Amino acid sequence: MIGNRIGDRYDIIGTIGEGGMSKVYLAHDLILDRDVAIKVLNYDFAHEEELKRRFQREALSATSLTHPNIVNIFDVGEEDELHYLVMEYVKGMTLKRYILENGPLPPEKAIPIMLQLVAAISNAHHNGIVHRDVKPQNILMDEEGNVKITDFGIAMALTATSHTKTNSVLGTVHYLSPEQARGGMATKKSDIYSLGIVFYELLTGKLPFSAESAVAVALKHLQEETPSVRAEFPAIPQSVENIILKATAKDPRHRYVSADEMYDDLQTSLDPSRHDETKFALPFDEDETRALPVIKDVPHLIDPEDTVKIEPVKPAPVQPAAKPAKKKRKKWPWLLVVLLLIAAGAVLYLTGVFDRKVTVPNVLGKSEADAIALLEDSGFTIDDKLEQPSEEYESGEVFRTIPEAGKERDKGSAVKLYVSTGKETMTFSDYKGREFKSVKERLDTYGFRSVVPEEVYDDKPAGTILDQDPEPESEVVPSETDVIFTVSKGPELVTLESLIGYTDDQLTKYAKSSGFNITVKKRTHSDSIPAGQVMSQDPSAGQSLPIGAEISVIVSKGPAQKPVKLYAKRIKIPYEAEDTDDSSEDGGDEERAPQTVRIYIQDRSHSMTDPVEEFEITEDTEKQITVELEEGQRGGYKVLRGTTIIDEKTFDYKDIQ
Amino acid sequence: MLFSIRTDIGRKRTFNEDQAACFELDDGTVLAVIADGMGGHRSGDVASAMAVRLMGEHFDGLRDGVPRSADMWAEWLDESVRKVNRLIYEKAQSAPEHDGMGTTLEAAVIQGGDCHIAHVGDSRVYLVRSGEITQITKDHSYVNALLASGEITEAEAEVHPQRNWIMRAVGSEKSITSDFYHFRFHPGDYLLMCTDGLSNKVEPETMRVLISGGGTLDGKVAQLIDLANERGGEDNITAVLLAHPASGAGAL
Repeated sequence: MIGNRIGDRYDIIGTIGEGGMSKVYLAHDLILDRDVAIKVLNYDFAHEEELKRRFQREALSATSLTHPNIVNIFDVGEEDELHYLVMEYVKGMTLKRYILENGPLPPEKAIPIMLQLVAAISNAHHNGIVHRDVKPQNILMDEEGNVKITDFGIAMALTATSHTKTNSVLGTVHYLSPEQARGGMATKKSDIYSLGIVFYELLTGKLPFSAESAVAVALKHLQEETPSVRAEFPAIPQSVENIILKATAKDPRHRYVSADEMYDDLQTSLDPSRHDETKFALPFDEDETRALPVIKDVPHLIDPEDTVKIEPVKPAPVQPAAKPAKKKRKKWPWLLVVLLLIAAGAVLYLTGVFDRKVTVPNVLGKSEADAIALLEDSGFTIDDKLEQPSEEYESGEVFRTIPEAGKERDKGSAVKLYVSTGKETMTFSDYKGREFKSVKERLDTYGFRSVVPEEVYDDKPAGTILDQDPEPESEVVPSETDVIFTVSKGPELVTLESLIGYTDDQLTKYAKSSGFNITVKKRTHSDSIPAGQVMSQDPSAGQSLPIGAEISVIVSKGPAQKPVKLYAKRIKIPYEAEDTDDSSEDGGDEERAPQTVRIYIQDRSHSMTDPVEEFEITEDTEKQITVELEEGQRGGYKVLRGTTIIDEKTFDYKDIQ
Repeated sequence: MLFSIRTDIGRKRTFNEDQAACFELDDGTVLAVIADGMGGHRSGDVASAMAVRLMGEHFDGLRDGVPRSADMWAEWLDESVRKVNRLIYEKAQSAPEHDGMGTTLEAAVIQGGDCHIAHVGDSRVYLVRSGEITQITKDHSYVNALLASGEITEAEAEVHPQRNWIMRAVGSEKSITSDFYHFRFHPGDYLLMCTDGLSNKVEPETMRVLISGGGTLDGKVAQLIDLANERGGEDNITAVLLAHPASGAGAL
């Protein structure tokens, strides 16, 4: 491979890396005079048209992504059996190797990496692309420490649909979301889950779930809570751990609604104002009973530093890196202190001592102006206003605030407002000419209310989209849109009858009724099919064929002429007077009594059952006999005068000279 | 022993990585082997062919002393599969083009009225007896393990994108653990061994109907394979069908 040129413009210079399905080469693009990375797929696409199309589609859709933290795909190519992607060349290493060499990372180093990753995924999500396989092996880090995600949608596109049996699966399940492990469709929330696992690995240098087999790992993803990073690294703030816990919630509904939300959370996670955050817990309405959350949190509260944090009258900033608990003291006295402090706080709050603290009012669903007024009345300032689509709130309504309603903040602190632009719309593309199954698969990821095919016969291959509703370029809200595609079910098929025995007339009639194009290819001899009838057809009967298909038939000319040999013989038939009749002697020359002669012949046109000739003689007579035999036949003759056999012979064709 | 073997490349593949064979000793003891190879770039067929050939050779070495009990057979099968595993593993390590190759393996010994089975992977053995079909082996597949754990349903398993992941394969790791089964094999019984090219396409009930119906063993096997092909034939398809010899000439 090295030294080769592919696509007429890429000179392969060296090898960068190798994965299960592909090999990556460093190459030089002669036209644009730059180094590129070329990923050559090590996959036999022969006979796997569907898979090949899917791969090319995924790869092409990834070419549309342009983001500083996404490895750019420049080109998708195919040369002979070779399928390849031309990508931006990133000089550096994978994040996996970086973690191996440098992990675990402190939050101050891990968060900037995560911010880049989440921004990249957010960009892809806004373009309707789900990565499906976020893992440090798919993330590259350049020499400046920038990270870039690669392989959008591609790896999974290949492993998922392939029927190729595989047994090297352990590496692929570590970052898999529970819904993917279960076999469900990967969604944007699945990427968020994987990002949470990557964050865990950055902070601890380890994987949260490890086991000997892929199934055991998958089961842990399904069943076990994500372990606490603070258990081993107590210096990590709760607000940072909470990001992992929220991103890796088992139920996608409990995760961040979007990568953007995760981004915001990451960005503020080290803010001093978030030091007193409690551990992330699932909403109460879950099946899982969480009756004792306070007790569960007690071990954290007994940390002396933590105790200070909930002391409301001391707003002095606390060092984020909490020192590990110095000594295990008896828990109960501390718990008492804590409870007392909480009680004291509540009393102080009720008596209005905390005038400097104000609570964020609930402004969700309010118009922007109303919300601002309300917030300002409560003593907040408006820090920033972001317009984003929201599934729940109408356009113009506030759908989110940071901090959220109910949180306490110093008077005069800033609130960030999110104003809905209505439900997220998308431009409905022109899908005509594309393949229905893959389009549906794609649209399903957007959550269309329904995507239904209406099948009609058409000359286009089965599955091709012929028409669509909504029209191309219309703006639609997926969750409120029913999509109807007119889909070709291919040309109308008719089952071909057996034409054996058909005469020309019958063929003409059948051609008319079936719509097939029937031609007589040739006429030839047949021993079994009478002349003028069809003796064979191509294609054979029982196949379903499109109307207008060419059917060729061979018509019988009847049995073939075989070589024939003639046996000829002159036979003397003597006339013999009957000696019992005296009168004959007397009569002398009187008229002789006629005698009957019968000649029987067995040959290609006669059988022995009836005589071929019957006549009377009154004197010696000679008779010419001919026996015609076809190759392989047996025949003969017999001459009778009255009941007397005059001559008789049987012989084979081959006996005749 | 009456048997019929057939392997088919299917409709989508360029290689047939399945292998199957039956071996018979002078005393009538029969070994039937089926293997579905995979991995190692394009060496899946190497692994499956090795597995079948080596099992046969090992079986041939029994001419002087044939095991007589279920325990002895289990021991013999275990030893054979381990040996085959080691040889394929060594071959896989020997050249980069063989790296990662492996194969599923079903080995069934029928001796008199007893059947002894060793099983690795996701090829299957079914027993058809008095109008019922029973799947003897349990797939060593990722999806099957999830199913067994109760995390997914049958319906989810059927469409799981990782159906092709198997958890055990002969030759892919240094050591191997097989599953063993032993049961009586009566006159009138049929034993069907097949690769997933068949079991992914033809449901057990249809197998039962085709096998219990009339016709020759060869005809039945051909019907099974044709059906899998009609339903897509994305994978190689291989089946071995064995009938108890006392089933009479009608079974031929």
